[in-house]
Amino acid sequence: MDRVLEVQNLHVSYFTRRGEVRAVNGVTFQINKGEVFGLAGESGCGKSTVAYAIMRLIKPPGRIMGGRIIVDGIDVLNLKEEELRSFRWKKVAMVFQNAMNCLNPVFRIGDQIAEAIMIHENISKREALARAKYLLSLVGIHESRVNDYPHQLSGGMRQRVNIAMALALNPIFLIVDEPTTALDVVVARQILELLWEMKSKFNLSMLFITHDLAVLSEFSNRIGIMYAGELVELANTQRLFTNPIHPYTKGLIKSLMGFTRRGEKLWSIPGSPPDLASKIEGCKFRARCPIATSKCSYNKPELVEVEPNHFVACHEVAL
Amino acid sequence: MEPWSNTKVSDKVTHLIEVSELKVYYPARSGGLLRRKFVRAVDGVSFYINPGEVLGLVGESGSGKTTIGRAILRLVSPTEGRILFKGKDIASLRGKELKKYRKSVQMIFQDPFESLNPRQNILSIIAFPLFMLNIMKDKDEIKKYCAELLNQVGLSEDVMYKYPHELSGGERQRVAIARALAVKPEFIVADEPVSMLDVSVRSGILNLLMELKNQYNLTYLLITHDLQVAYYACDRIAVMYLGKIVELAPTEELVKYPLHPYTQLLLSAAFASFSFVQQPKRKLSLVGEIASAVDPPKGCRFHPRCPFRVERCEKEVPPLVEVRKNHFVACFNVS
Repeated sequence: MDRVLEVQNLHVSYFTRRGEVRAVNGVTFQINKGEVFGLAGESGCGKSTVAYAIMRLIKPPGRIMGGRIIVDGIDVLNLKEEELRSFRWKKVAMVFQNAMNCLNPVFRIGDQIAEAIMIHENISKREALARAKYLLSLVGIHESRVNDYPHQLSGGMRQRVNIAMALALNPIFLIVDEPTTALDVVVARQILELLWEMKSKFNLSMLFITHDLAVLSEFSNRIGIMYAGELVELANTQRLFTNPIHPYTKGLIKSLMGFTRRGEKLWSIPGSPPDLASKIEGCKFRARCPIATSKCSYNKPELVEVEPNHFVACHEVAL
Repeated sequence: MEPWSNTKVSDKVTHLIEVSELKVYYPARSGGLLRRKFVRAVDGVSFYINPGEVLGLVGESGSGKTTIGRAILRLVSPTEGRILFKGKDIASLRGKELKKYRKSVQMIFQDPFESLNPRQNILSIIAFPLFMLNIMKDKDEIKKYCAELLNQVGLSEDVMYKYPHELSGGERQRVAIARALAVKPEFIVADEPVSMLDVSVRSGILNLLMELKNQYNLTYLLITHDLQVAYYACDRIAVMYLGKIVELAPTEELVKYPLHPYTQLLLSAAFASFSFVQQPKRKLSLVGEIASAVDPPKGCRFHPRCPFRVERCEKEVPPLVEVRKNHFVACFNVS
């Protein structure tokens, strides 16, 4: 199978007053062509940082400390500034979490999309606007709204515009970062359905970042679970839900409300993620882990394959 | 007419909160003095809440659910209609009585990143209502009480010297809960208390709310757009659409026998996951988005999105009627 994305041993740190925060600490995964890969974990686990690194959008005080990112054969981390221009949005596009804030409030949405196209392609304004109209109709926005300003649109429609913009230059790979988190349930579903439609229509590969495993359960082919900057489990979706192995994954799945009967107490993982500014020996999950042993406090577990294509980083379950 | 608003039951003081024919209009900017327009945020809503009950108010953004919560707290004043607390019209409360009311009702806001003052430490945040409402003045006493409260909500007492930015979203929401509890309220409006939080943190907060409810015999109005949350936490659920209640029923009943097409839509959105199929399970039968409350659709407000609409829906507003025991629906196709 063709690899669209390869992330190898990625390290990203933020240098704050409190010291180096290792937001992403040795993450490795691949995404195949046409696949939807879900990256899940709690706030602050580094999942968005992975996405920003792939887009080369990490800004100081953040820095990519090491590793390799290969998108469609291109070594992303070695691209020069001017080469980035033909890489971003053309190869990889991104839909951001906050639908409200990523459109410029003083430009008409049609103009914004057209401008994005004109920067990258040598076409006239008229052609670009026609493309913008086509893109908007594709995501379910009537062309009559091409001259609207962002504030005239609802949250769901703005997210549709963002998706249209992401698709403007026919990328092969789309990163969506919590695309539905700021939206109502019904609108969230409509956006998910739209993403699925676009994925099928353009044969896109996708990196889907979310804290909501329920969304991934029906949307992704494979899922990687991140904790404190590291991947702790990686498996295909069905396997992950039917046979979760890492205690953190188990906790996440157990805490999903859909699996709790009314009247029962909801499950939640005790404690909170560790402070990544301090150096942690051994397994980072051990303070919250129900099955931690003394081994976990000095020995860092590596990701090992426990069954075909199912990787887990835990001493207690690895054979 | 809402069926209970004229019955004798409402004259007794059995309900903790009773809202009747509540309307809240906000002025909207528009052309000319003579053509003043209003956002009809809440447009004729009646319901009651019994002591010890959790009523869920469910609907999309813009359906008016938060406005109802704010009206009950007297943060906005109704354009029409009444809100009774223990049989007393809250609009008539003045002076001491109003202060007493402010102690009895509290609110937990959606966004713990904005509802806590970033320049105050947690101790001052929790102590403020105690000062304001003359409950406690002694500093040591307040510190001790604050420590107790923090333990109650599952935080360690050292948190009181921290500032909001040092806490995670879940911890901040716990502080907001502690602040609401500080004045020993009887009734709490929880406005989307978990929607800004990670899924894994949500359950902890919901558990906490339920524990506190049992411990202090609290009554909640839980406002949420997520039926999954409402299903878990509420005794009864009212579904709102564009300023009106379209369905109201006990939770189990509502989830098992949703009658209004909008409720069915919400349910299919909330419980669609966990299918393990490699495609969103089924297309939502309903499209479009909530209309504007400035010029709401004539007749049934849901009719432009409704697949079952008949001619009558475009002209008449369907009344909320009891179609099964305790199950009220506003839809011509059902009644």
